[in-house]
Amino acid sequence: MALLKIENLSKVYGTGDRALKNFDLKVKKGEFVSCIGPSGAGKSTMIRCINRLVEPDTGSKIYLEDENIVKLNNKELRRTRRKIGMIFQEFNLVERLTVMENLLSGRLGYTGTLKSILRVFSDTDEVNAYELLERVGMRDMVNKKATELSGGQRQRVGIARALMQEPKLLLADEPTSSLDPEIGRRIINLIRNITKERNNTVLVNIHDVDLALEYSDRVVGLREGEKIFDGSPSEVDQVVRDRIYRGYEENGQN
Amino acid sequence: MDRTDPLSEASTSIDQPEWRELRRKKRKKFIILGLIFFAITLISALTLNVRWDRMGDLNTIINTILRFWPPDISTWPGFASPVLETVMMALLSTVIGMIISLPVIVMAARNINLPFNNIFYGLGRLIIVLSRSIHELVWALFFVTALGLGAFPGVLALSVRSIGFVSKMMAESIENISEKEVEAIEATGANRLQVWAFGIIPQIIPTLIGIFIFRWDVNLRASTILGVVGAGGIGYHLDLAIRTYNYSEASALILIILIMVGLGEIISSKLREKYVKESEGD
Repeated sequence: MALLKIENLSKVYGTGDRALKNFDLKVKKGEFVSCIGPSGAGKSTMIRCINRLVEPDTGSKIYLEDENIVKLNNKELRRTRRKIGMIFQEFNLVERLTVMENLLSGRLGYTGTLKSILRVFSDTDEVNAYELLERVGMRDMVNKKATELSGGQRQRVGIARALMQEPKLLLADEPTSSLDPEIGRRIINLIRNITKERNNTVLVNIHDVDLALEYSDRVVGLREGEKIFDGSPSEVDQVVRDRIYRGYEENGQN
Repeated sequence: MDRTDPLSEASTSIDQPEWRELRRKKRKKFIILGLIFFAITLISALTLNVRWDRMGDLNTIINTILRFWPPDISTWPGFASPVLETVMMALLSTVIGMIISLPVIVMAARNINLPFNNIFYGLGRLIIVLSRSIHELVWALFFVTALGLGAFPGVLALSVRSIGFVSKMMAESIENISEKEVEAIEATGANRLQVWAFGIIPQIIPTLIGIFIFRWDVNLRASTILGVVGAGGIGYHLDLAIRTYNYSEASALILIILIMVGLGEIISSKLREKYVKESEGD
């Protein structure tokens, strides 16, 4: 059974740019799915539509466990966002907060407003935060401010923050492209391992095809807002690559 | 090989007109603007209508100025309480000003969307312009007229005068926050208040502290003069001393004000260095 089912997802931005066109996708529980494609193909828009950081066009359907996210009102959306963790390209840590505060912000959806403002989180949350920090190798940095961290360290905190939500679905929008290749590889490796340990479902955008093939259970290829490939990494040969990145339509069935 | 490169010959030729053309235009513009500026200055000086004949001779002027010397610093102990009052006026008016500013900041920051946003945005801007364009002495006169003499109308005047600056700077600070950080907090399912507490406020705290310290310094300077219109502080005693021809006491007071303002500036810059730079983390 699919955990995430996207049907007919389209997005035209206010500027008139068509980012996505009738995009369909199913992701099974526990799957690690990578989305590849050239910049501007709509990968980011697709990921951001799922937790509605970008509003999909009407008629789009995004089901997370049979609940259509597109139809939710603000309050329902907040409740559903708790179940969807997100890792960002530029980490998006709150720079002036400490590592621990950044992690605990992953629990905001489960914590009362007043308590969270006073920085009072449950003991379980704190224990989990320490465990996650240990796991991503950042235990010693607990009271450091985000500004003091390097790029790789920030992304480790970003991963831990997303996992603090104990998400049903983990989204990652180009988690490696602000990092140098070696660090990027370690980060994607960490995401892969930590999510397999926890049986998380992962949907990640990645422009480095080799990384995608190495770490994913399944690969989805996007070009100009449309899905033009969906299959296992072993099926991605030179022909598929050319179709995705150079638009050689004559090589495949359009 | 042909040794004369036609390109390099052309580029070194003096016959190329563009540069000299532009230089001629610039010179012309400079001369015209200079003449206009000179004419305006001359007209202003003439319309001032200075009555030289009503001024005393040089001797009288020098004698009057010399009466301020030496400052009578034996009067200083008596001014301890007005000095304290002045410092307190500055502090209190900064706190009150910042509290009143809160709704104005929310209205005036373009990236915070309220219902009827255009109306509130306009209102916020109007309050900022009103507060900034009216001098603190005018505000003080207004509040003294309404509430009577004393430090309280002075505090109100400085508070109201602070709103514009504080709101403008804070609204700009909010407009310049990183949306990425806010977005990350929104993505966790946080509610509006939590987004403020975790995504927005941490980003603007250094600006907030910096503005508070800076404004306290400005208000301290302003509160030394408000006494002239009866709105409390040390200025009242300065005004009194001059009116009663007590010039050496007046100069002692001017010295006090100099020291106060100087100290205020030192404290303010040290504090800003400590808190604002530190929290920026670099």
